This record gives sequence, C-alpha cells and structure tokens, in this order.
Amino acid sequence: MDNRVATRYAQSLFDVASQQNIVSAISDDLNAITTALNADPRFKTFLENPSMNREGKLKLMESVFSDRVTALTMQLFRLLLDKRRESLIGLVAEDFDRLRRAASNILFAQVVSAQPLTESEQKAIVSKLETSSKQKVEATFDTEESLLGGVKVHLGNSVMDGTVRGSLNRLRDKLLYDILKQA
Amino acid sequence: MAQETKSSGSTTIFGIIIGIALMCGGAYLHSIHAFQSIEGPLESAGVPLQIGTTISVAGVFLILFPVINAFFISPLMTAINDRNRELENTFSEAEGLRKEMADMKAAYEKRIGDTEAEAREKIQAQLKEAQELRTQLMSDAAAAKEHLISQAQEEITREKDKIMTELRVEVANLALGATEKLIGVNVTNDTNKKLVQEFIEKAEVPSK
Repeated sequence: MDNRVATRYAQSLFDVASQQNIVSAISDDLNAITTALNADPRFKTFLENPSMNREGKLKLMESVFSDRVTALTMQLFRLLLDKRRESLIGLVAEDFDRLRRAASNILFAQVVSAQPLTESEQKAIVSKLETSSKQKVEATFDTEESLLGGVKVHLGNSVMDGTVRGSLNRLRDKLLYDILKQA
Repeated sequence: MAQETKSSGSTTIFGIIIGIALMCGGAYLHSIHAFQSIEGPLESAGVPLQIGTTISVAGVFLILFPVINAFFISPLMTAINDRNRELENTFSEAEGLRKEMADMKAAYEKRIGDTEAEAREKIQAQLKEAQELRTQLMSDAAAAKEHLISQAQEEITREKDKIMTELRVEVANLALGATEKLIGVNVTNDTNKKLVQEFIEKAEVPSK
C-alpha cells in the first residue's frame, strides 16, 4: 500500500520536475535527505513520530534543508507532512530515482564486494558495465564480508557473481547435483 | 359245515339209541345175573366188578355224552381252538414283527452303511478341501513372505541410498565449510584485488 502511494507521489514529483527541467537537482536533494535520515536514526525517528507537532517538523526541515534543496523538494516535504506521509520519503526518493533512470535510459547496478573498492575499481566496474550493456550505468557500492572475496553485481534482473562465496555456492550446487543424480 | 353238523346230529342220535340199548340191556343182564360166573371169581379175588351195571353205566354215559359234549367238551374245544388260533396269530404277528425288524435292521444297516459311505466321502472331500486350502494358504503365505522380503529389501536399499546421499551431502558440506574457512583465512587484500580485476576483465552483462 505504502509503495503504491509512494509511487504516485514520486510520479507527480517527477512530472513537475521534468517540466521544470530540474530532475537531476531533485534527485540530488532526495538523495541528500535520505542519506541524512539514514545517517542519523534520531532524526528519522523524530520525523516519523506521529505524536510530534507537524509545524515543528516543518520548521526543523526548513531550518535544515531550505537553503540546500530546491523549492519543489520543500513543497514535497510540506505535502507529505500535511498528509502525514512523512515516513514515505525514502520510498519516494527510490521511486523518483527509478523514474529518472528509466526516462534517461540509465541502468542501476548494486555492486557488493567483500572489501571496500577503490575509486578506480568502482569506475572500472561502472565503465565495464556500460561498455557491456551499451547503456549508462549508475551504481551503489556496498561491502559484505561473507562474500570472502571478489565482486557481485545486481544489474536489473541479472546477477553477475565474481565472488569466492559465489564460486563456493556453485561448487556446492554442482556437488549436490552430482550426488543427487547418483542417488 | 352244515353237512358236518348234520353228520354230528345223526351220530348223537345213534349214540343215544346205543346208550339206551346198553342201559336197558345192562340192567336186564344185571337183574338176571348173567355174568355170575365171571363176577364170582373176580369178587373173591378182590375185584368187585358188576359187568351188567358197568354196561348200564356205559349206556348212561352214551346217553349223557351229547350233553357233556354240548356243555363241556365243545366250549373247551372252542376255547382250545381259539387259544391255538390266538397263539398262531401271535406267532404269526411275532414272525411278521421279526421279519419287519429284520427288514428294518437290514434297512438300518444299509442306511448306516450309506451314511458311513457318505460320511467317508464328505470327510474325504473335506480333507481334500482342507488340503487345497492348506496349499493355497501356504502359497499365499509364501507369496506374502516374498512380497514382504522384497519390500523390506527395497526399503533397506532406499534407506541405504538415502543415508549414503545424506552422508555424501554432509561430506560435501564439511569439505566446502573447511574450504571456505581456508579461503577466508587465505584471501588477502592482493588476492581480493586480483579477483576484482578478474571480474572487471571477464564480466559480461547477460543479453536480455
């Protein structure tokens, strides 16, 4: 239910931003806000607390973001606070990015590695993905120690697994397949 | 029968006439002592026989004989005859009963014989049936035993295969776990960079 509502807000925001040609700026705003929310759980708790005064929330948001984000983004904040949908801000940001990428024919890649990648490695991976897919690629980079080593990329519906964990899993699947085939 | 009665009647009358003649003749002879020459020596010898009186008594007897016959001899004869007939009938009935009993005994013996034969046949039939049933039951039991053994063997084989499979899976998991730990210890920063580089070189986006 929340997803559908968030998608509708995101679609409206994207339509207006497209008309004003500020899609990229709005995307940056939303990313900055979600980063701030994720970085400080107290800020997120305050914003999503239903017992808190709406005016107080708006004042805080304006004091923190009014000189950093566009007027349209602030308008979205006000609307969400009016409708008591402030908890959807993260989902709206995700959907907006999805719409922006779809409109610009950009692929989204989630890159997970066992150890943090250097900037050159990140660029090289994005470049490789762009070359291979013949599309522009935007990527997020995360680390997951349980992968043991290597890189795994989720691109659309595809997964490219170059991790040790993936190799071990494939080996395990092969062994199990052979064992069950023998049985 | 009528002729017999008529003959009997004439004999009676003849007897009465003879009796009267003897009675009268005897009395007359006694009165004239006609037999004195015989009676005298006899009397002296201790035998007081009066022949004339005896002849008269014989004549009286002949006269009274029909009465004796009518009132004593005939009913006695009838009774004897009746008794004889009754005895004959009894014997005849007894004979008939004996014969009937013999027939019944024969029939009974025949029936016993038939019954025994029938019983023997039935016993034989039952024995045969029991034998067949026994054979059938033995056959069924053997088949059931074979089936159970086969099922048990199949189950044992299945269980064995299952355990072997589980064992192999367990061994594979243990081997992979050990491998994972070894790799986890041995993957250095350089190795990781090499892996990343390898991925960058070989990665291909799957075609849609």
